[in-house]
Amino acid sequence: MYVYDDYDRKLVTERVAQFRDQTSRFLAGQLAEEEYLPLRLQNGLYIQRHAPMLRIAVPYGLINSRQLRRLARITRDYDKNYAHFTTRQNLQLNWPKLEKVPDILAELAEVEMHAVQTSGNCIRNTTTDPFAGVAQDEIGDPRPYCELIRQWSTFHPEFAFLPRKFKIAVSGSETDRAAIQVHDIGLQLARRDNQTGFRVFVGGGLGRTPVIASEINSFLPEKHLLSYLEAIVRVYNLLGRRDNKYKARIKILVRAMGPEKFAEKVNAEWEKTRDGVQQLTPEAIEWAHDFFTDPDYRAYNREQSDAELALLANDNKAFARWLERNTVPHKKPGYRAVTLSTKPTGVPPGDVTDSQLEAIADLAEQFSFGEARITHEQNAVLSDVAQESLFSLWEAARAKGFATPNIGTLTDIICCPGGDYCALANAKSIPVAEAIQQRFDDMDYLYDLGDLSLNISGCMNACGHHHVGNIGILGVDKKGEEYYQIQLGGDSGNDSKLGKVLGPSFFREDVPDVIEKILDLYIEKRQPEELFADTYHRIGHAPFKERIYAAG
Amino acid sequence: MLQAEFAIVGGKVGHFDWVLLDQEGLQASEPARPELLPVQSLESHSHLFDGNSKGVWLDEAIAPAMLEENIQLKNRLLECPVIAIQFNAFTDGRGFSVARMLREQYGYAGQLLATGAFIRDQLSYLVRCGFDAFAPTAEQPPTAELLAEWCGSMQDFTVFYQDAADGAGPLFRQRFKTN
Ligand code: SF4
Repeated sequence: MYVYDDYDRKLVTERVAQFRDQTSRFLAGQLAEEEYLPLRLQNGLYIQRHAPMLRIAVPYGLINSRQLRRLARITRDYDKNYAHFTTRQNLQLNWPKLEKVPDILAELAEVEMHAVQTSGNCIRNTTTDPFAGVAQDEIGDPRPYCELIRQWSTFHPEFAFLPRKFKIAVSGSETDRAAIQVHDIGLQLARRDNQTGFRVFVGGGLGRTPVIASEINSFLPEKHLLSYLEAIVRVYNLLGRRDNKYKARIKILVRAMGPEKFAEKVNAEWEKTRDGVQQLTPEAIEWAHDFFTDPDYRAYNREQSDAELALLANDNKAFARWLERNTVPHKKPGYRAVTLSTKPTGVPPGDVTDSQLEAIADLAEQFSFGEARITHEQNAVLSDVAQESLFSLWEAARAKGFATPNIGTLTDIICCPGGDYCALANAKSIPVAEAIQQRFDDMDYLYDLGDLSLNISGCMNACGHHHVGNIGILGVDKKGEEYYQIQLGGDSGNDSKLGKVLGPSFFREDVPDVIEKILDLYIEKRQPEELFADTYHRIGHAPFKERIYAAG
Repeated sequence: MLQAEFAIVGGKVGHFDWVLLDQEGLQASEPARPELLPVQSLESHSHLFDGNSKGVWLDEAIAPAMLEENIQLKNRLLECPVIAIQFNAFTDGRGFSVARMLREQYGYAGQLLATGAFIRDQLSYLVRCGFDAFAPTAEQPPTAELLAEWCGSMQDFTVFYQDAADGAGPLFRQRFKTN
């Protein structure tokens, strides 16, 4: 994990001081509301429906036990004893007091954390694969590059007032688990002729106008990473639309210019700087990698360890299920990565209490070298658990409500805060998630359905990524009433696709019935081993539409 | 055009002597007066620049594309002792890019002046992007006392992760200097 040195510490401390001064000027009436707005946003502070909301950065989702404990304490001292994991691997507090925010930031700075650029029209927290560094299909570890990007983009003097927010995601593995094609910039680590580099995608994004990104560079050597990113963002800063908030994202610019033309502009800009000081030196790349070396893994015999685990699983069906759904293979023999589900029925997806944050800290310390990751799906991952400890971990996680074996299933719902918290919402999203979890709480049924993503957003800003869920639910407002539109066929991996709207929207009470009908049809039509997404793409949209809207 | 009474130059507050003239104001230009003229007038009113210390101002919206396409204009621009970049709204960040390009790519060495609607809390970033003079213009422009307070925000940060027009160089290079 990246460790701050004096430079980093100084920077965050200076930032806290700056924001403290800005906040006190605002409270004293010396800084106008509209001037304070972008400043507070770039420090993570929103004004929500009921109270301010503070979004704390968890750089590329990586967090250690000490930080988790501090967060738990902050939720107790400054909030209502819980926090929320976001789809961009950050953490939100829902009830902080505005005047206390500088104090919270100071507390965070003590554990090398901050809320810098988690909001506002600037470059946001870079996100990546929660299994970075341990995945079996990894081409290279994305985290060193995420850290280099984090540093480059933090307090970037040129890019703090972009036309709109700007999000970068990096994937280091063959299977894209970072949804890079729905980001403003998506970077796919690649190797060519013994060189490390990136495929560069731009102009992806969800929201009102969902777009899958276009590839503008098939191999960017790693040393050019920062100058190339700078060229992209500069072209966007100069040419992106500023007249209409809804047309201001880079995706609109890329679409209007065409990806080729956009790439030309970027290249022309990059030519001027590519050999300048931003070029990453071999020492810098090595230095970044040194923060993400392997922990002290023990040497296990793969066959033996796997056999022992299989034996345990044989004896205990509940454990076997959890093992199958909530853990994934690891690059090291005798280890697995474990996902702690934050989504038991009845709890808003991604919500964690103070004691759960502490529990994650304890579990991480006890089982996974003191580190955890927050995932895009709003869960937590312990990335390095020895297989021989899995059973004890499972029992401990169960006691804390983290072992619902639903990862990747229908009830592992991605859900935005929606109308319960968010001022922009058209409709509530949490109660819909809950109703679905309640309806489909039969684990046998869920397993039989297999991998299936269901994403819910409370408005078309799409924070819940409904466009890329196999099933997507969108809250809409019709004459002041809350309705829900359903889309099918979305996907966020290598083969990213946008879902297609089924038809007229539904009342909230009817959503679980509609989902059930969709699933029934899938079960009738599927071929052996066929996943929902595959069946949908094979048989097409029409049969689903027909089933749902048929008379009666 | 809105005029500024005071400006920060070289980290200090002083009277701002320059007069900002827009297209329509060009007729009123006086040979002896220090004036900032719209960049287009380098071509359309080139005589106004003869032998006088005139500067120009750029609308951040038109700057880079126009300069790329018109080399002659660009060269004349770079000879001006003062280039002002006019911020139409403080949330419009194009001026930051324009400034860096002027400094880092075109090698502009004269005074780079920020005018218009930028705010105090942007000063540290503006400095890093190459501005060395600041004359906020507004219906109610800041008083000299207030501007003096603004100066405190110029050094909000003393370390920087990334390179910019101030030549700080990326921190990753700094980090290896000592060892
Ligand atoms: S999708 Fe809409 S309702 Fe949900 S969090 Fe985003 S802005 Fe709020």
